[in-house]
Amino acid sequence: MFARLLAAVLKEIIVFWRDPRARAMLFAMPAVQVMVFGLAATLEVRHVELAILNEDAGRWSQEMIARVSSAGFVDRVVQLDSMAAFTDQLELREVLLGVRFPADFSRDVVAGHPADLQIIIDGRRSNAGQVTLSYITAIAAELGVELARSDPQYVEPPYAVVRHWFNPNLNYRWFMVPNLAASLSMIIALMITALSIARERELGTFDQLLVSPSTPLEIILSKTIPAMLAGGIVGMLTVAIAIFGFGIDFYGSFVLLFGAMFPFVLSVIGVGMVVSSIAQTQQQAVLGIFFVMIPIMLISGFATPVENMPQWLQYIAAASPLKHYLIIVQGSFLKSMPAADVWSNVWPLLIIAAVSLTTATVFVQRRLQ
Amino acid sequence: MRRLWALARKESYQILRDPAALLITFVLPPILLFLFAFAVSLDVKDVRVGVVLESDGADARSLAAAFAATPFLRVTPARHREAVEHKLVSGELRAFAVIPADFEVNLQAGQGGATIQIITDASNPNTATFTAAYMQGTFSEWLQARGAGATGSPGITVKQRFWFNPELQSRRTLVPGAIAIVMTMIGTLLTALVMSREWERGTMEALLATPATMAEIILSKLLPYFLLGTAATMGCVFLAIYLLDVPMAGSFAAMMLLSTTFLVPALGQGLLISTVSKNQFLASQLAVMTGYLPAMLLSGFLFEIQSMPWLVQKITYLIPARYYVSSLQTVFLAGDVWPLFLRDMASMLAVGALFFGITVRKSKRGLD
Repeated sequence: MFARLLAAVLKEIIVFWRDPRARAMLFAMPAVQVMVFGLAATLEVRHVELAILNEDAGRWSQEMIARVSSAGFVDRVVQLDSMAAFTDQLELREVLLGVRFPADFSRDVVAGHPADLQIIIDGRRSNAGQVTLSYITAIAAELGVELARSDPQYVEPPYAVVRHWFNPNLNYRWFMVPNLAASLSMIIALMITALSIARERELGTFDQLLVSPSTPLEIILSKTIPAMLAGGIVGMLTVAIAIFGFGIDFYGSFVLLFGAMFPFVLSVIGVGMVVSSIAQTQQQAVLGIFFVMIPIMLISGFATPVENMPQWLQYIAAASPLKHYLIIVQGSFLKSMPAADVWSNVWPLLIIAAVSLTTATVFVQRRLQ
Repeated sequence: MRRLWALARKESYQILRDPAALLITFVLPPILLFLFAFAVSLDVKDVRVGVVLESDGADARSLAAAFAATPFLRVTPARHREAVEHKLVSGELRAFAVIPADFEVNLQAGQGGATIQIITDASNPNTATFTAAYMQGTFSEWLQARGAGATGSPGITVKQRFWFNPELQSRRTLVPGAIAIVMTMIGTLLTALVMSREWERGTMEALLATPATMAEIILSKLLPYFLLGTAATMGCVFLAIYLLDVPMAGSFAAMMLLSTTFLVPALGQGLLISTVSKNQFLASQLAVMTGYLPAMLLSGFLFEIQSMPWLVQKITYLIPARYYVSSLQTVFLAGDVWPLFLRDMASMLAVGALFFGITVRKSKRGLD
C-alpha cells in the first residue's frame, strides 16, 4: 500500500512542478501579496487632507491651526471661506474633514468659557474619520491643558498609566502581516485541494483512479499530501517574509508554530476535499471554495476581532480552522505563547480535520457503489 | 447578429443549469451582505477585561465597581496580577487594570500622580486602543464624580458631526464594499473560469474554427455574465435598502449606471486572466490574487487608501473596485454627486480599455 501511495504522491508533485506558471503562482504570488497587502492594510491614518473654516479673527484659532497643520498625519490643509465651498470639497472626497472655528472662539478661550471647535467629517470614510478625530481631539486637549496650567488654582488631576503589551507602539502591521501569512497559506491549500479531485473528474480520469487498485483512502491521501506540502511551504515562506521583510519580532517557538501549521493545513485541506468530492467540474469546485472561503475569512478575525460579532456567530466561527490558527500565529509572533495555550487551539483543528476528511472519504466511497 | 444571439443563448442555458454559478450569484451575495452587516465590525463592545484589586480601601473598591458597571466592559475581578497576566497571553482577556495597594495614598496626595495602571493586549492594536480609551474614560468619570477631576479653565470642546452617516453605523460604509466584492466575483472570477475552461478542454480551437469571429465568441460569453452581474447588483441593492436599512440617498438610475460601468473592467479582467492562464487552476488563482483580495483590501472600504504607502497607492489605480467603492458609498450615503461619478466612471472605463487592449494583443499572438 505504501509503495502505491508514494508513487501516487510523487506523480502529483511532478505534474504540478512541471508547470512553470503554477510554480510561480504557488511561491512568487503569495510573497508579493504579503508584501503589498501588508503595506496596504493599516488602520493608522496618514496623509490626511483637511479643510479649515475660520470665522474667528483671534489668536487662539491661529494657534490651533498651526498645531494641526504641523501634525505628522496631515498632508494638506485647505483654507476655505464658505460652508458651500466646503460642502463641495467634502462631497467630491477632496478632503476627509473640516475644522470650523466659530466667530467667538478666541474670545471664549480668553474669557475662560468652554470654546467650541466644530469638526465635520465625511461619514463615508467613517474609520479614517474617527481615527483622525481622535488625533485632533488630543491636540485640542493638549492646548486646553496648557491654557489651564496658567490658572493659579489649577490642580493636576490623577491619571492612569497605559502600557501596551506585546506591541508597545501599536504597529498595525504587526497584527496584519502574520494574519495575511496565515490566510494566504489557507487560500493556496484550499485551491490546490479543491481542484485535485474535480479536475480528474472533469477530465474523466477519476473513473480510471476508481478502478485502479487504490482504495478511496489512498486516493484522498495521495491528493492530500502534495497540497499539504504546498500549504506548509507557503506558510513558512510567508512567515519568513513577515520576520525578515517586515522585521516583525518573533518571540515564540518555531517548533510550536510549525507543529501547529501541520494540523491547520490538514484541516483546511479537509474542508477543500469535501467541496472537491461534491463538485462535478473544476468550475463548480472553485466556486464552491469561494463560497466557503470568503465567510471563513470574514468570521475568523482576519481583519476585525471575533469578539465584536454576535455570540451565535462566534459559535459558528469555532468551526473555522483559520480562527484557531490566527490565535496561534499572533500568539507565536508577539506573545511567546506557551505550549498549553497553543494546544488548546490545536485540538479544534484536529477535530475539524478528522470530521472533514472522513466526510470526503465517504463521498468518494459512495461514488464507488 | 443571429450567430451572436445563438451563442449567447447557449451560454445562458449553461449558466442556468449550473448550480454552482447560481449559488455564487444569488446565495453568496445575501450571505456576504449579512456578514458585513452583522459580523464584520470594528466597533468594539463587550470587551473582556480584568480588574486587579490590590488595595482594600473604600475608594479602590468603588473604582472597581465603576469598571464592573461600565456597559462596554465585561470584567473579570482578581486580587493578584499573576491571575490575569497569562490570560492576556492566551487571549481570554484584552486588557486589565491594576488598582495598586497605594492607590488611596496617591489619590489623596493630589498633584497629578499616577494612580492606576492599564495594560492592554496590543497584538490587535485597534482593539487595544479602543479598550484603553474606554477604561481611561471610566476612570476619569469616576474621578469627576468624586470631585477629583481637572479644575481651572474649561478648555476647548470638540463638537463632531459625521455627515452622510450621522449615527456612524459601520454597516453603511461596509455594504457598498460587499457589493463590490460580489460584483468582482461574478465579473472577474466567473468569466475567467468560463473562458479558461474552453481553452483547457480544447473547445476554444473548435469555436475559432467556426464562422463565428473572435469578437462574437467573446461577446457571447460576456453578455450573459453582464446580465447576471446586473441582476445580482439589483438583488444586493434591494437587500441593502429593505432588509439592512441602508439609506439610498442617490438615485437608482445612477446606481445602475455605475454598476454596469464597473462590469466593463471586471469582465475585462476576467477575460485577460483566462487569456493569460488558459487553464482553470491558474485562472482561479489569478482571480483570487488580483481580483478578490485587492477588491477587499485595496479598494478603500476597509483600509483608507490615502494612508497607504506611495507605491501601494499607485497600484490601487489599477484596481477597478477602488473607483466603484468610492462611487457606491457616495450614491448610498451622500446622493448623486455627478462630478465624482463621471470621474470614477471614466477611470473604470480606462482600466477596462487597458484590460481589453492587452487581451486583444495576447490572443492575436496565441493564434499564430
